[in-house]
Amino acid sequence: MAEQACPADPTADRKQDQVAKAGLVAVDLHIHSALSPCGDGSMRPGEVLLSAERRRIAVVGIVDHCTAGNAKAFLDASAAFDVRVLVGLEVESAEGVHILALFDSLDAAMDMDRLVADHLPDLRNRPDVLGEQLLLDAWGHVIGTDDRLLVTATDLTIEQIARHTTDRRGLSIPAHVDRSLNGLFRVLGMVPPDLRVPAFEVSASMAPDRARARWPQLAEVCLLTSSDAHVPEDIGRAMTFISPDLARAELDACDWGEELKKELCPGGGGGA
Amino acid sequence: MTEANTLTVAQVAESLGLKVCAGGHKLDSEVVGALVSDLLSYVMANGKPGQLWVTIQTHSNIVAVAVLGGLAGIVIASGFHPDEDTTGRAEEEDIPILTCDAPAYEIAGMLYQLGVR
Repeated sequence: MAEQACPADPTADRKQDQVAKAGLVAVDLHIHSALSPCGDGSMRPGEVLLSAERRRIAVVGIVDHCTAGNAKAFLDASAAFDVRVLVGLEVESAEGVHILALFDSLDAAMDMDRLVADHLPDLRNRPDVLGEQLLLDAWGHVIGTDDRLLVTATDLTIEQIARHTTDRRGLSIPAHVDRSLNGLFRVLGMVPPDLRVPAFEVSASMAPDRARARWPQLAEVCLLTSSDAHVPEDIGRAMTFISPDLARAELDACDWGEELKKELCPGGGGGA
Repeated sequence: MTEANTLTVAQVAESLGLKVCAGGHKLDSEVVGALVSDLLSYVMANGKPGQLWVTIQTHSNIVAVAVLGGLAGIVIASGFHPDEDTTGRAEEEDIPILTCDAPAYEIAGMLYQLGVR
């Protein structure tokens, strides 16, 4: 997977300078660690958070497929960096749709982790086909491997995943909704009417304005774009820009998501 | 050949032993063809009015997709069952939902043999 990754956007630095002048800061809420089988072995706390800091990213979201097993390592390591770290999981719903569940507290993330574990099929990973799933400590040492098949669907519906995330004071964001594989629009055709989420993510290759033009349902909602990075070079290849006050706001992930929605919704938060 | 073989949803259900899960009062529509897919966006783009749709998706969005496409009904294969949200919506929207234990591949073969082309 790592070989196919796109290089970082060469204009990103210039864009970011413009954005910095406008008084905004960057967030990238979809980053995988070495615990994702498709995640590069170098995606360890130090490397990831240093890359984020160098790219002046104020808030990162660390998610792995159906597990938050490296959440503690990243939260512990975050003390040494000037980056706010949200931790969580990229859960695959029964329908085959990916949705991010992000938390600011380790307890909440691990509670969601246990719930998701109970809804995964009992299958083993094939490291020779999919890659190793490395459990790390804050210093990046390998402290174990997860041998479950994590790149697979749970039997939870997308609405259930969103509800369980909110119940644990987390922030749920359907991931790369435009993508043919595991994207909400492709798999489910349209946003389910009962899905309660503060924001939707479009993939790194899709600018939010273009997404809004193509899917009218997105016209009024909060749209994020994130890197979905699996290698350090990709961190920040797509980002969303928010106010520094929001980046620093001392709110749990659920309330933070609501504030994010207000800030990023066209017209200031009137949307879904 | 198609005219002679035109079947209603009720006749298809009876011939193939499909269980009627929702929309039982709307089984008189004619089945003019069928398609098999689990990607709802594909069905939205390619479904034709009067077709029977074979899928393993049970999410309530399947009802909306069937309404948009004017489909004759939905066959949920492989023993999957829709929840109350989905069946409730199907009742409201007059979309028959039929279930069966046979996988989509077998259902497609049986439909073809019945004359649904």
